[in-house]
Amino acid sequence: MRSRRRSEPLVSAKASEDRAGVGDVSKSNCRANNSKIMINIISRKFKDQLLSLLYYFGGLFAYAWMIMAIFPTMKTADLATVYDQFPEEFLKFFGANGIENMGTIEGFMSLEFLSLFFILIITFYIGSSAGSTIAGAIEKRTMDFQLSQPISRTKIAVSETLVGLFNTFLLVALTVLSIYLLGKVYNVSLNNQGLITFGFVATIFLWAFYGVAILLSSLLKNKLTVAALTVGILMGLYVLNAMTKIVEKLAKYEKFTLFNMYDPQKLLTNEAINWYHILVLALILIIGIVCSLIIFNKKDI
Amino acid sequence: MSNIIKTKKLTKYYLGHSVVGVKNLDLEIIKGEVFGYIGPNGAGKTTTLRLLLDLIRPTSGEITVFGQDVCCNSESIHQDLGYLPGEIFLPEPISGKDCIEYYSKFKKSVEKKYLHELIGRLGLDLKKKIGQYSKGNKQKLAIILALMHQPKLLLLDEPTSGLDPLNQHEFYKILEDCKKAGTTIFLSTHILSEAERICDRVGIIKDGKLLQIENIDDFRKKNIREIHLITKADISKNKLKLDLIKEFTKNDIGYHLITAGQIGPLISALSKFQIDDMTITEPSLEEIFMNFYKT
Repeated sequence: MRSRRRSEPLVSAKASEDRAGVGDVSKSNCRANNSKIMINIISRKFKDQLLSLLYYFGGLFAYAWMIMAIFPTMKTADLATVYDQFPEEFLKFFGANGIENMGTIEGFMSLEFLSLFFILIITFYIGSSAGSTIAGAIEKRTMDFQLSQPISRTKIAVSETLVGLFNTFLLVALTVLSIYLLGKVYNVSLNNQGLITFGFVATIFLWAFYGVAILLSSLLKNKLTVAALTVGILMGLYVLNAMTKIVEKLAKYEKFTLFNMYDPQKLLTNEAINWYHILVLALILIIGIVCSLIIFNKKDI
Repeated sequence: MSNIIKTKKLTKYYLGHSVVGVKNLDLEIIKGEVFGYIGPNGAGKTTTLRLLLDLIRPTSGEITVFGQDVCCNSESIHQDLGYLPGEIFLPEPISGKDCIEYYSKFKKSVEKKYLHELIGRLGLDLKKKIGQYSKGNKQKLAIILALMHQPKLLLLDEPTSGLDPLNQHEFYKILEDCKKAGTTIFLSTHILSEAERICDRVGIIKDGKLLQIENIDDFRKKNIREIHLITKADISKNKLKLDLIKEFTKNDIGYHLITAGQIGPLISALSKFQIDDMTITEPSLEEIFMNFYKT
């Protein structure tokens, strides 16, 4: 395959003439290319994440399937007696809102899956995805060559963040769809409107954590630390939220935990969306992204 | 003549002010010039390149490429710039073909014919994943990525590291073609022969300071060489009486010399002695700096 046409110069005369003009890149051409370049980054990042996305969804689906499969059996059991055996604090810690709700699919799904494990699995993805956007790329040194291309730091970070946000939405949407379909398979009746409401709030809630994770990615030096800290913050807030329900003195701190804005059981039973909460969560996402862009743009790579 | 690269009192400190990257660097590289940037490891070569690429920001001073401020116009500057690092880090799960396709989409245009010629000359198998490439093949891919859009300015950071001699030779020929086509080349290297082969001027940098800028002819005239003599003969610097000998030391098997200038007179003088063997090599940069660029 090795070409032997050595006599001809490799650079064409046309290219040579073109090179005679210095710095004649028109800014309008650059702008026209911007969307093409961003789509290029987005499609590459999406392809890179596709396999891991499938693994995450596989885990979420398996968990949802297990919960849905055991619910009909659990329903026939005297759940109130079973849950009575547990201390009230224990049940509150895992997001149970009253024992009377444990016999419903919403209460059961919330306690066993959606309150913590669902959020936790997706937060692992969020930490890993946001971590690889800035910190991971600097750590692996792939950022050097990427930044030598005609694209700004802002566009790189925004393009990759869009992929992360879309994939987060995708994980939530696919899980909600799985729950709906599994409900049909196991003859478990679910409130469709509640499922949609839950999906919407869960997406915004997780996006807020994406804002935190991308900010950490701009501040820290490796992907693993970003992922670990994001999950750590989530778990810290979850524990704090649980404590506010258990310890009366701490009740006033509930609004700082973010988990007061995410109650799967209430959302599934079709509670109206609290738009103030949505605004707060969206603000966390926006502030996180803006701050990360400012830091990334000033950062030495 | 228009300046492609211009720096004025360019200074970069790391870790506050405790580590000097470069200090008060004044450079002017004109259009079509091949500029060699020579210095030992840690001299500030890579720092300068990273400043030119806007990967790091200067502590003070000015830096322009194509007449535009690097910090504010990196996007438009990079349209006409090709960067070839000494060791490239690319996403490993993708194939060479996908990698070229990905990076070509950042460029205004990539001439397919030129790209295929480049791939053919370097003989790179594009079907393999980047993670499966050897260091040399990764470097070949990096050359293709840096040159495929026929940039007006090439920034090369120790570009031949990892290439075997055959591919080094091919790479120099490609650079000569680029030079003929009017490409401006900024070559950071610690290999003197590399600079002597393709550069028009060289800048000597050490400890972050630019010590000297020389025309390549003046640099070549220095003809700095390291000579190892294996002999049992008793030779002294006084017996040879030659100004071109800059350093003369005796060791267990013979003598070690550093010379500057035409070595014909030395060979004549040595012919009077019983010499078992003689090797002439390029001295290390450290030795050159010690003898010629004392700071």
